[in-house]
Amino acid sequence: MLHLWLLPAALIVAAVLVSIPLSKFAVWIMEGRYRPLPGFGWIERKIDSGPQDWKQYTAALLIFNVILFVWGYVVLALQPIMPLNPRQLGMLAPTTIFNSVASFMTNTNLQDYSGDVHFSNFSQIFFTISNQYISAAVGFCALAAIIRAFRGEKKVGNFFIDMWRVLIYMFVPAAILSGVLFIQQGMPMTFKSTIQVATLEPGAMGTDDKGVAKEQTIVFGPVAAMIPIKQIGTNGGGFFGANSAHPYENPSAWTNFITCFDMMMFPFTLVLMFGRMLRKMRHAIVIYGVMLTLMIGMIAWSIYFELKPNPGLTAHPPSVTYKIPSATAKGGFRELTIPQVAGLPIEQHLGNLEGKELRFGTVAGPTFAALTTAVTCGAVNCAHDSLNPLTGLSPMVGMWLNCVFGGKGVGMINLLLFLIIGVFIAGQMVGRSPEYLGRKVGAREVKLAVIALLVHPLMILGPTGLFAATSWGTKAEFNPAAHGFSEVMYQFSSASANNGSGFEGLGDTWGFNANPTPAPTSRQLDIAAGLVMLFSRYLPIVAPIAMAAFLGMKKEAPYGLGTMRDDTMTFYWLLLGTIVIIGALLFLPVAFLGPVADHLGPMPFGG
Amino acid sequence: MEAVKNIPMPSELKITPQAPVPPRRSRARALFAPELVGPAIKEAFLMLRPDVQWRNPVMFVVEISAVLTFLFVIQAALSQSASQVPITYFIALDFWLWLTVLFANFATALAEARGRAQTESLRKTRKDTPAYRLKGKDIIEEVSSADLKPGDRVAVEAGQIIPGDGEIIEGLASVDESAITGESAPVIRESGGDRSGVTGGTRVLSDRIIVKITAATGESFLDRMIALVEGAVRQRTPNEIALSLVLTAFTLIFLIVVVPLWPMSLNAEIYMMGYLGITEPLKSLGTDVPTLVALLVCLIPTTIGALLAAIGIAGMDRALQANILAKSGKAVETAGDIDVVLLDKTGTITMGNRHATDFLPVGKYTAAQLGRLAALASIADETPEGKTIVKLQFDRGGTPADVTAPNGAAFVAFSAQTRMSGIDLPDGRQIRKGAPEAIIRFVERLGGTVPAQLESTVEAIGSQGATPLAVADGADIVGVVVLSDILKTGISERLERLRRMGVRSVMITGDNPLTAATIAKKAGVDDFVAQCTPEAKLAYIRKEQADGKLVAMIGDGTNDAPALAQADVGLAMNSGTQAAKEAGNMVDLDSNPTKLLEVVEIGKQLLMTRGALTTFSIANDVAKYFAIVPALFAGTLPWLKVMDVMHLHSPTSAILSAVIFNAIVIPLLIPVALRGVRYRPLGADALLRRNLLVWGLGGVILPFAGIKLIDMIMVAAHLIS
Amino acid sequence: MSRYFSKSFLLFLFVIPIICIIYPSVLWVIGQVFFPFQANGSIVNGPDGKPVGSLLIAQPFTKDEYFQPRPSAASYDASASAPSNLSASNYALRDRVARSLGPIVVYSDGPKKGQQVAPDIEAWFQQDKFGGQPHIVAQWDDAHNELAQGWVSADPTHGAYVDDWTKKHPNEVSKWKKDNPGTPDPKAADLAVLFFETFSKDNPGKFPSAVSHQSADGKPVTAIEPVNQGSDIQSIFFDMWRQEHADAPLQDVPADMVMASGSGLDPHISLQNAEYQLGRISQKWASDTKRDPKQVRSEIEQMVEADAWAPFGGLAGEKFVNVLQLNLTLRNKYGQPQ
Repeated sequence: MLHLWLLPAALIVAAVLVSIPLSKFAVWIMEGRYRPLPGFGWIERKIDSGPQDWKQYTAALLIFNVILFVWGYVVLALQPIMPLNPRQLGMLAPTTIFNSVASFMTNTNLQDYSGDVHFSNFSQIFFTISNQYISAAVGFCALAAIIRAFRGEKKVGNFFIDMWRVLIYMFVPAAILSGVLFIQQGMPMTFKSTIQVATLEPGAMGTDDKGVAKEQTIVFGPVAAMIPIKQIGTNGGGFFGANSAHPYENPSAWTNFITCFDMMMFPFTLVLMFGRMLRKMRHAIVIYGVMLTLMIGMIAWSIYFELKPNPGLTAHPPSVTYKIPSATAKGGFRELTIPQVAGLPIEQHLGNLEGKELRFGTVAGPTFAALTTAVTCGAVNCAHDSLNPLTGLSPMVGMWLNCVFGGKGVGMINLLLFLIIGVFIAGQMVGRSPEYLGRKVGAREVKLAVIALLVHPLMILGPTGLFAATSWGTKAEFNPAAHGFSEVMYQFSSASANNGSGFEGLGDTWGFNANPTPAPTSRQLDIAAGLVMLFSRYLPIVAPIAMAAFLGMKKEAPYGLGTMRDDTMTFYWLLLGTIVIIGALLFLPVAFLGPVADHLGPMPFGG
Repeated sequence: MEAVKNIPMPSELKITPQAPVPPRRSRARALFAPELVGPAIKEAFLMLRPDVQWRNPVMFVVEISAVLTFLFVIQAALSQSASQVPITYFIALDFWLWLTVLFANFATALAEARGRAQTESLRKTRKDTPAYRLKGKDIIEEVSSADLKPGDRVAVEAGQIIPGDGEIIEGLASVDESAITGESAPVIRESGGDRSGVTGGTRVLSDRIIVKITAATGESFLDRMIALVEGAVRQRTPNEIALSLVLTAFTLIFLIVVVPLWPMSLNAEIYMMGYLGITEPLKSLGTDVPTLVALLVCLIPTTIGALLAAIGIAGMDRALQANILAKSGKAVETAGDIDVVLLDKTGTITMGNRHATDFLPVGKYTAAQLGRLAALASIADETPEGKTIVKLQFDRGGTPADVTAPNGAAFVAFSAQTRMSGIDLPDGRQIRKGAPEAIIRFVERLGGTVPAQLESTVEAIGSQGATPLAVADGADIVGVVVLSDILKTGISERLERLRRMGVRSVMITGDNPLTAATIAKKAGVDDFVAQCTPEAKLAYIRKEQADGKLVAMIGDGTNDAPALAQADVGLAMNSGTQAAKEAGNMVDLDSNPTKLLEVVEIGKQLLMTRGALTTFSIANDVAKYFAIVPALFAGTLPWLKVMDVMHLHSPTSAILSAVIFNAIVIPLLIPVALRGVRYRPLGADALLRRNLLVWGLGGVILPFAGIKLIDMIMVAAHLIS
Repeated sequence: MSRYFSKSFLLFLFVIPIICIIYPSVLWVIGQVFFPFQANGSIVNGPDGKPVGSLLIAQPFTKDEYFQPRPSAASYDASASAPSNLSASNYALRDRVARSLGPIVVYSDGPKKGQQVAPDIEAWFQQDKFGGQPHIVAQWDDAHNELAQGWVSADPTHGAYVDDWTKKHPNEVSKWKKDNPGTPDPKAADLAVLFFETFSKDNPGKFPSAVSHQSADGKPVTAIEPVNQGSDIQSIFFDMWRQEHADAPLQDVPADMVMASGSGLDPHISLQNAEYQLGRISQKWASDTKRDPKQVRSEIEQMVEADAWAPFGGLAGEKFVNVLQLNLTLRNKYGQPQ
């Protein structure tokens, strides 16, 4: 079984190895040391609005996103009258459009629709692909601005130029390269929309009213154009409903490997870019180490639990009786007996196969689940809802922490928030006013970090509580009890972490506006998750930029013996401890109520 | 020509203090001194006023929680509705919540009481004393010290108490300053120079001085300092403000965690009703508001929230105990951040003055001859150097005759032109001592020859960082007296300690670079500034600050004032001039220049204590989760019992144990808050590792044991069913 | 500010054509020129030269002659991919798996080694006793309300059967209405629980199931009738049977045979699964083609071996086969199944 760990190990090694030169390249581009391609110099001069201070940079970023929102809404709303729509798909429900637009512009890609069912190729290209490129670059730019602010620069760059650089010199080449590999492995690249085939066994698809054998309608399209940027930009919004589990979206073990690698590539790189641009490589390596540790832990956790058989099908001896305190029952206790369950005769040595594809290999599912949430990609290659209960904890932890490499830029930014809190408290423990990067961390910086840090738990726990206690959530739950609760909680964790994966059993799809039977509370879920995504995206970008700017304005003190070093093993433990403890304090109760209760409770839970 | 005086040897300077003032060493009083605890308890209750609590958001939340729980107790008492928990549980919860607030108040009140006691004892020295005011030339009138005005001149004789702050304008006296400093050894105060300042309330032990009063009573410097200290206790420092922000944030975070637990528990209750197939609503502790309130109180950082104010006050208090009056808490805190300390060579690193350490004869002379002549030349020399020459001769077996000027001898005082001093003996011999160049010029003028040996001897002395003092007997050069700087005992260790804290020490001296380098090396300072002028000092501070470093310095002279003001921590000597004391942000009552080290340590300790207790407070929460969350869901999701790793007796005892632990840990940590976490001069990394292990890891583990213990005790005492 | 608006527009103007037109076009050209098969969906043609499906997309096979793909939560609809999303704690998962197991599981040991359990399930069912209490169907109905409702809405004929029953039992229905004031006008599914309760008492040891008859004019007519054997009983009541026969030695079925894939379109089954199906398939083909079963078996065995493949040389997982590919080979070799 040991060889099964090779796939995740190879992935991590590959991502680490590539991130080293790629980070050099990224610095080269972001520092503007490259020579523009012919003709592109003119464009750069056109879009350049001159050096911006942090306020101007943030304003430009927000204004650009407002336009992105309008663009997305218009493209989706006009789907019925746009070209490349041979299936004549109609307009989506307005709340679904709002949700999707918010989702894609915030790099979340939480899909309350199903790509193969609801999107025309025009929408896939001009809505999905454009958003996947642009929203990914926004986080990247925000990090670049933060780094420059940390360096003490008053002018933190130009947002439009940064966007251009990231999109044209980094994302497009990487996407083309991946795209070619993907096509070779079987990913469709066509502008057609469907193909009809008569199945080999006629009538196996069923027959229509007249007894004629039904054909299989296969949806495809420019899949190979979308998937590379979906992964590279850690977007995760799939071309198909089944996302990366779909054979067209992920045709082989190789594409699965590249898919995983693609989503890790830039998040890994950006940590090193942070170090290179600040000339604090050792510090960056310590951060990198902390992230790697957490990531390996999460992967190992999910593989360990997912290689166990699906507990819903195995035997559960013997019966257990619990005494539940009750004021109304006789003796003050109510007895609850969990019956013994006999196992079904299934050979489960490959672990829990429900919701998994065979072609990726045995551990690809849990590995992907841990990775996709750690780097806030949100693509899935197996059904997260069907993961073993405790396996499901791993992706949740990834989203709760939201800084284990995280999305491009924002993951690193989120880590900075934990780091500032950790440095602030521990910095005092060495008997000095806390400082980061040689600059004193004062009340203002702490305030900004805390505001950004508070948004995430507030946006997860608040709506989860609201939906869990009301029919808004309970009506949408597909699975029973604690697992149903997990579905709601996962949804808001995913939205707030700008992740986009889901316990997809949750009934959140309205579908086309004309749909007579939408999921009963899909409207509430659309709006709530949409708002959560917006809040959890922009506040944690703006506040850290301001924090970095204020910190950068301060005088830089040199390192001394009395200064807390940020490039040692001690700092590693400090940072790791801060993340784990704060993360645990925030989310232990919901972890108990969700996956842990699911795991420990009766299996199966009721009828 | 003056008459020859018989100068007492330094070793003979005997002082018999009359009616000694009890030294104020009692300052390090017991932590829980009964005279402080009583009022502090009373104060703790008075501080329950919401407008007082409001200033501490964490404890304010606890107080609201206690009130809320009280309302639930009333409701439970009035309504007959069946609940799975007895009303005694609510009462116990509420009791411990109130106790949590009271413990926090008590910690603050106790620290304040200690601070007040400290300033009170300082004030005690300010009582009225008779003063002898000089009126006109020689008329002396007795007035009360309270009637003195700035500018008045008073005469103070041995045994009298100096009636007010002032400067000696005439005379020299040994003064017992133990009333302020607690140091029983007397100090010399004399007119002119930097040691002319005297403080009201101190006692003259010998001689008679004329003091010009500089401050009216009640407005004396000390009075104003005490007022400042008292004010500073109430002010929050920048770090404290930032930390309160973090604590408020954690309070908010846990509010965000706990409030949604109610609907989430409801969700579990609803699906469990379905599972059990019952229609009556399940009532678990998860939807029980007082229990959720208890969880909130356990989670928010009450430990540090309760002790934060006390830690700050105690920091000031520790500075006071070290006889340092800090004008603001910020100054103490900044002291912890110091990167560079500027130390005056003289008085800090070396004993105040150069000592004669050797006689090196040249030519035909012997060391004994040189010694006798040198001593003879120094009889009338009242400079410390001169005195040590005499003393050295004495120590080397000289007789009193050696140092008694023969009748008819005439002293030649030091003049800037000749740069020599000496004595003209009745037999016409001119004995001179002075800088080698001056002596050579003197000898050559008299037609004498300079022995070849002299140059090498002088050079050798110079290269050792000592100062040569040549002695001539007429046209003959007798030899050279070696004047060396003597390092203060223990200075190297202290500087090493500084270095391990990460503080760089810089020696400031007027010496030439060569001498300075030697002393610097011997003492172990990191850097030195030789031939330093006050302007150079200021420039040096500015240069270091421009590099982002924080600089501390000690000064006493008026010309130090700009540098003291410029430095991030300016420690002025109480013996120094008024200008210096005004410019600095701390005053050292002991006038002990090495005190700066203690200030730095106190500053670091203050921050460390805050950091350590914050870490501890937050780390505690992990265990509390494992105690409370399974208890919350015992009534709905009994299988979560597995998470109850402490195997607590019952859900209610689990919650009570956590709340009790949370409350009790506050008084238990009061000593740590008041005394401060022990500071060790380690590098930052080692210090961090240590503190993370002790307070971080310890903070995670300890409550598991503590909560379990409380649970066991409650069960054993049948306090819980 | 307005400057930032205009610059934003300008950036859009330059970027959108690059990422939405030029970039996909580049990939399209590369795909169509160098990898036309893959780029157009890996479509393969059948014996008649017409496309029969994509090698990457699962399609259903029901006949015993063919390898059957993994269960699909999307019903093999390649325009609406979906996983089952069933959690382990959801009884629906166990029920679905148990239903597919019932008709195929065999004893692994004991006197009946190699024999199917299905007949035993039927015999046990006919005794109508579970856990010492009578009426299996009523107990099933009581424990799994949702399954009972699911049965009613699964097929229009089921609904009609219940409606029919409703008319014959006005007393029970009016009592139900009194107990459930919220639903004054119950549909068939609402009454499912009540229906099975009375059905079980009226038809001990029986379950309503579709039965085909030859009608008078020779056409087959399908109707719901109480039956005591058949696939419904074997599948629906396998799990209950298993609870009473927890120690019965049963041969394990390869998991991918009963557990649905993530897309509902997984084109592969594990080699183990293929080998498990081998006996049934070779027997069927042998009888279809009237050839020596052993020889057919070894032929097909070789086919499976040849097609079986594991990614990364087996480092990442175990061997699997492509169902359409295999079945296409079978079809090409042995012709139309009977």
